[in-house]
Amino acid sequence: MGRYIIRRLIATVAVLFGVSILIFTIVHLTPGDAARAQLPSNAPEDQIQQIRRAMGLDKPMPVQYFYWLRNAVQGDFGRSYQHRISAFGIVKDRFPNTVILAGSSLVVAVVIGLTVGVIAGTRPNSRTDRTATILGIIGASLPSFWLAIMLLIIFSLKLGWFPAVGMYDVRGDGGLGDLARHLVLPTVATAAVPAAVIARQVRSSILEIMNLDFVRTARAKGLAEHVVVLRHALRNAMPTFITIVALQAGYLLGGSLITEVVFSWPGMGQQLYTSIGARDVPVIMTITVLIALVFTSLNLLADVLQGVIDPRIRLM
Amino acid sequence: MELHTLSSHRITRRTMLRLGALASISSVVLPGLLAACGGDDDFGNNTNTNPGSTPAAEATAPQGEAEAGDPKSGGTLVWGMGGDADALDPHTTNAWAAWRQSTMMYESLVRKDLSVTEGTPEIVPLLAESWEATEDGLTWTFKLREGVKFHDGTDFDSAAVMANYERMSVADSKFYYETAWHGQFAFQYATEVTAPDAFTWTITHDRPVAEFLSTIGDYYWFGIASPTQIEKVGNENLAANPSGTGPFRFVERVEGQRTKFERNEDYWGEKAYLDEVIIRPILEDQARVVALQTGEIDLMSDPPPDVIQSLIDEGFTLSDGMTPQVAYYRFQFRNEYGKDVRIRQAISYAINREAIARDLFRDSAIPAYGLLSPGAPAYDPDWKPFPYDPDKARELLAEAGYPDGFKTKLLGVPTASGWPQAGAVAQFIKDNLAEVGIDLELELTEWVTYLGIIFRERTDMIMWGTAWGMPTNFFVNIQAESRYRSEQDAGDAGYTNRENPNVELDEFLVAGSEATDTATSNELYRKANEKAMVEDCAFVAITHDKLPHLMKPSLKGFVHSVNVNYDLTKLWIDE
Repeated sequence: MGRYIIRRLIATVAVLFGVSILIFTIVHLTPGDAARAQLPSNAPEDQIQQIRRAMGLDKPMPVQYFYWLRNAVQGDFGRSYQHRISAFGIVKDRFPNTVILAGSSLVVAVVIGLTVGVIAGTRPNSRTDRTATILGIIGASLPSFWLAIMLLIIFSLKLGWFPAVGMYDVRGDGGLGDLARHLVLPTVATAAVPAAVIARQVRSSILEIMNLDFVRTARAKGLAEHVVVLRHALRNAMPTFITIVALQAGYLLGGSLITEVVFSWPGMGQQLYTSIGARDVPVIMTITVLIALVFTSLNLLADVLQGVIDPRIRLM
Repeated sequence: MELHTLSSHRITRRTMLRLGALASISSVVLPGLLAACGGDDDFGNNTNTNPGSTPAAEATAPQGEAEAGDPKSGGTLVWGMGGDADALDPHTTNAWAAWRQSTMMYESLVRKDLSVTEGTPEIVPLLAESWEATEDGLTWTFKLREGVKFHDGTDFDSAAVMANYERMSVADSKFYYETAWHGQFAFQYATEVTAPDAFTWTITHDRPVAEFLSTIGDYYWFGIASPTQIEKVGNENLAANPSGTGPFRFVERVEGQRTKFERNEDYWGEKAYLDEVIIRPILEDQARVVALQTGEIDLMSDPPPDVIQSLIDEGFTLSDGMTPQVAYYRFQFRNEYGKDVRIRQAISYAINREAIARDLFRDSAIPAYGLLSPGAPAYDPDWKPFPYDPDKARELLAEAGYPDGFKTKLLGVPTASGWPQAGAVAQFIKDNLAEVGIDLELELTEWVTYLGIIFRERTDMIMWGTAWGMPTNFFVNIQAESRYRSEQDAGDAGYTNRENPNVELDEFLVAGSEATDTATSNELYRKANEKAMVEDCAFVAITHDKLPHLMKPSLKGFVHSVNVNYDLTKLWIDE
């Protein structure tokens, strides 16, 4: 198991390295100039060059990357071009907000996805199954942007149940209750797709398992149906479930961008959106590397958990 | 039990299509239905300030006048903006959202009179009580206000002014900060700057600069920061720890959530009514509208034009007016078609600016014909060359040898701060030009990529657009004077640069900026504007945005100044 984890860790570092080179190259190859973006469009060329030198943009790209990497491994991700403060500081403040949103969405998605998936999987072709499938397809295909706006109009504007924007009421002092109220609509908007995906995967997994011999044996032993499903079928569906949840958790961290923008949720997605518009390379790099780190770590965790549950996997 | 897969269920392609169609239809119909069902009960107790009025009609009435009731102290204003401030450092910022916030904290020596809603506002004293220029117009002497304190407790004096000047313009000063570019711009003609005593500051230029006061009074390029604070936190950290002399002091900024200011109780001038101002960036238009409707914000910038009238009908108050903003396109003179003045003029005739302002902006913008903004002294609202005339455009195209038109590219952005409806405007122009036979391919990219493209030589496009402006004549110099534009600057598009000067235009502009007599200066600027816009036809101006703001009816005293910033000290809440 130890060697397995070490092997996976090395792969994780390699992935992070690759992601950082890729993003750095993409950001630098697209036309545009962060120095110019800081100045009025008619700023004289010599001023632009001065700013470019001050920002280190006059160096060749590999040199810039080398400096970035050298500083990044020491925890210095540079200063935001746009806000003139530490890029890591900005992201560090945003990260917990995204984790809160992604976490609550994941909990909702897992609870709904697992429940619906198990019920649908154990009652194939029933009315419940069909309804769940249709809702799942709708959930997975609704554009997040549209869903978010609809939720805003219905539950915030018309019914007045939940606030429209932000994480706290900026007039008040915040608090958990305030956070919870602000969390509902973004959570629903963000959880729709992963809930549908999890439900679909759990359903097919359960369906497959319910037809296997050991389930038949369990039933033959006279075990109650809920014991068969929960203790035998579900346990065997776990590896698939863990993988899909880990993947969805990774997507949620990086993929709640649209929801964060619509609901003004001050997370990494919203920050990434504005930073890309401003070509704020230090912030873009910090966020993407962080997302890649979390994503690969979650995958690593999922692989280790699977290894624990199913020893055969460790040999692969 | 039979093994089922997802595909075995009776979700046929037809069902999927039906579901898809249902979702699409509901996305269009549902908001309308909900709006119809919802009625006006959200603000049932409020009366529309101008029932049935159009935004255009409203614009002509100065806001903030004839308001019932006496101003009351107290309360918090939550102001929702469409963009977040970049840096709260008046010398480095490059965004209107940030200037509006800087205005609250930082003061310059002078400023435009922010109570003026039409025409050209006077320059009024701020940290300077008085000023005078020598007869040759070269040296300006400012008598500074005594007894003023910065928010950090430091006394304001001429050394503070000097430190701020040095931060922008004196490379070997301990205060110097290379990204404080705007200040360098304001002081580009300075030859000698002195502080003869604690409350006197002088600046000598190498030529008369008629717009000097206006330049240091606009946009807070010369907002004076506490030198103690600059030294204490360092140049780079001033944005996160601002300290000025203004009527509001900085409390905190939580990136992406809020920036909070409180009333400066030690303010030297008339203190603000409001206890607090909270700026809340809400990037998504629809969410910003809902936030205003649900009361999460009190004042909203950058409303989408389509919702303005319905919000007025709901009881919200509109404030808009004359602003320094000009949205315009530049011609690429190195383009095969762009180098022919007849084609440039044909395009100028073919664009229906009135329809853009009326239909696209729903009257939240006015048609623009020149580079002088409505707040500039030389602006003439009746000067309208190139009225919409597609026949004249076709005639000119035929004269130029293209009776059947041609195909070329236009470069623009879909959205950008300070450039509302940029993508829709480009589409509108494409349709206008198609009517006279010109087939425009639109290339719309995000802002920074766009900047990267226009500053590389691109001859495949005929036009590219941008939007900004200043309520001073000097904006024409920045756009058109040869001296400002280098050969490498392909954004210049081959029109009037240092290596290829437009002597006649430069003469008007230099003389206009050096003239100490206002009438003469204005006349020269009008000539320069006419030369650039009509004779050379180097630019096509499209609209002046009226910068509409919508607010709760209980918010009183908001004056829509001709500048891009507002005096919030007069604002109060009637609740």
